Amino acid sequence: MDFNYSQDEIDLRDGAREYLRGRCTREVLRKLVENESTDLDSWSELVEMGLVGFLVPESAGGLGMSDTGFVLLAEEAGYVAMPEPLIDVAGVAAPLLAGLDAELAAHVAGGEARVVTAHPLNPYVNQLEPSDHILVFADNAAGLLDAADAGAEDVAGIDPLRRLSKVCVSDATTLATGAEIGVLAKRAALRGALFTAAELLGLTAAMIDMSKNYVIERKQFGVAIGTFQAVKHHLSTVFTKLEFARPTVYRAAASLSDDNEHVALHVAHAKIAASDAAISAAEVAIQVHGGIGYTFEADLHLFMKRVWALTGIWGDRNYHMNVVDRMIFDQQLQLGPAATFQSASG
Amino acid sequence: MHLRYTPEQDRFRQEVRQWLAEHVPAEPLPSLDTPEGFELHRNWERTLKSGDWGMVTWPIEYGGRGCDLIEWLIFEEEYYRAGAPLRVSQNGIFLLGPTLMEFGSDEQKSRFLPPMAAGDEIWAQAWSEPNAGSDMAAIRAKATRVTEDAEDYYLLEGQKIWSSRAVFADWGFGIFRTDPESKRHRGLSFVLFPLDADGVTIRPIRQLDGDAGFAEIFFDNAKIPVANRLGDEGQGWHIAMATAGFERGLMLRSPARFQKTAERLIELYKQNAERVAPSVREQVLKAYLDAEAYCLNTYYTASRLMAGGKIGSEASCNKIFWSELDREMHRTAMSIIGARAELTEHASDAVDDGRWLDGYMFSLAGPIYAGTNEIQRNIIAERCLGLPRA
Repeated sequence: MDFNYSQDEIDLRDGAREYLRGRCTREVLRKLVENESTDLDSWSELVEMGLVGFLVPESAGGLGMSDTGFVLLAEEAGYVAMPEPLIDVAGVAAPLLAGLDAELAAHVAGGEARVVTAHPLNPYVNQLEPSDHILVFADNAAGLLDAADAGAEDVAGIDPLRRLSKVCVSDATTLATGAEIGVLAKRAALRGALFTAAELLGLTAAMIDMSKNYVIERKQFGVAIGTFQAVKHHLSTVFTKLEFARPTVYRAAASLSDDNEHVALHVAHAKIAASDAAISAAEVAIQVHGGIGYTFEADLHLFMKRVWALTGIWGDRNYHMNVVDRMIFDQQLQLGPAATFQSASG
Repeated sequence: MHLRYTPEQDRFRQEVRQWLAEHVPAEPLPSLDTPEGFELHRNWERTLKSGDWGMVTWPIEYGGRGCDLIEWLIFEEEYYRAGAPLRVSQNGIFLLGPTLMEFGSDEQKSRFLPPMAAGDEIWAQAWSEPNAGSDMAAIRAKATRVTEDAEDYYLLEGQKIWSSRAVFADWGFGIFRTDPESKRHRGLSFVLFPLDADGVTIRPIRQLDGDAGFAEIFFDNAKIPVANRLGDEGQGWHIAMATAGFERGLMLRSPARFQKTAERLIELYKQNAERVAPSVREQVLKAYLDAEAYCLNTYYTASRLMAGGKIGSEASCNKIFWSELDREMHRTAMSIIGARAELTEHASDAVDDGRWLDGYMFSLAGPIYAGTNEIQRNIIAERCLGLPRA
């Protein structure tokens, strides 16, 4: 029983953090929005650092790391509100492709190809351009679709750094059939929800930090508004939510990595806890920013809008609450003390 | 990261489970805040000691088992799972014990820890004063140093209040002003004193439930040997803050307690699902998830500490989380029980012997004791987020 990350995972996280905080700054994001672009143009750098092939086996040119480590990357991506589709490509598509089409997975890890994911729980594909393929999950099919054949229709969303497309899935090349489809679609949904939850943790931390800096700077009644208890308590409440959401996400990642039988419940918990923390953080952040927080000019809106988008995709709160509900009321989940973790022996 | 129990941990759990199955009283004990209940709870502590389960994390020489924090969490899970009695010794074993371990002399450790683990000496805390509640640095109770027959003593003078267990306990610990010229958190010392010493008067205070769970303590020149001071003279505030850290942090409320409550709440909901409003269902699910989150966070913190980390001001988050969760769960239960919620254990119609009502009342104390949640939120804002003090 050990909740600590390995030194490898921490080193990779630290490297990604340093890179992302230098590369994807608020100034850069503002510039993109001004130019009505969503392209950070950093994909080749992410490939170079091994982040795109993070979950791809070493035999296919990836780093061969596990879901627990990727959660830390997703947190960092969230902290800077990164527009690149790292979760969809590196978190969801790449590890699934590794088991279906190793050559394509190697191309994704190496940056020669980019594959995004369309799933009933992620219906609007983000950053379709310049991807080559879409890994498509539909009711009775799992397949690969050439991006050029996707018949994509632009969809307007509120987040100026997400570029959404609705794709027509009829021409997909079949990658899987029969029972395998369900297994793959479930795996995609679990990873999508888990890493989105991790991204939400990062966004929450970023909004707390922005708010903290603002209330230290901003003076009213002759003092920094951060001296007022009403303001402090708002931020402490959100900080507490974040502290308690984080281990739920880390546990869900561990459950995915070691095939825990309750992984769906654990991922549901993670997505609910991270979404609740992020929504609260966004509301508190705009409140303590006051009027400036309601403008397009301040950076806060980029983070809030990302939160609104991410809480809804890869299973919204209703979807995941229903997972928990079924586990508790239909599946007779073992409850109470001593039921949280299992033994190594099963 | 590996979130599964090792075979050794499984074996430890089995050992605890078996011992508790053989020893936990079949009937719940009466309230530990009554004379009869207190003695029965003390006897239970002695029974625990007979199996060396008094305080598993302590070194063997002090009456413990030398367990690590994960084993402690396993012990607590089994303890609540078995429905074992409340720990009447909790002020000692969970608060003073770790403090003694860190700041006590070898002599003090040998003198005080074994009887603490055995239930032979039950401890009460004496922090607050009538004018020093949330503002604890406003402490006025004095300890004046005197020498008599070549022995050094402190004469304790003043008043403490809200001292849990003080009515029936044997010893107390608190901070006193040893430097009469000092202000605020300077010049305070941490002193251990027998509650039956001459010059110490205990006045019980009836709590919300009618029992004398806490008390006022009056000191009228009570003579206490200087050897009963923990740490250096003037170091009292620093030591008290460390104790408060243990209290807010890991030890005071283990997750098993709340997971047990969440389990009971789900059962209560199932029995009443036909008649309660749909909105209650989400509250019940949320209770389950939050109790789990508290457990996960505790294992996360324990792992961090075992790898050499330290517990800091984020301990204040724990205290906020469990106390507000506990109130939430009991409020939900009260709403499910409806017209029978007001019935006490003596009423034949009472649900679960009135335990939800008792629990709800006690849950209202959670956001107040061990530093109010308002104080905790100030601590988080100032120490974790770096916001300026007013």
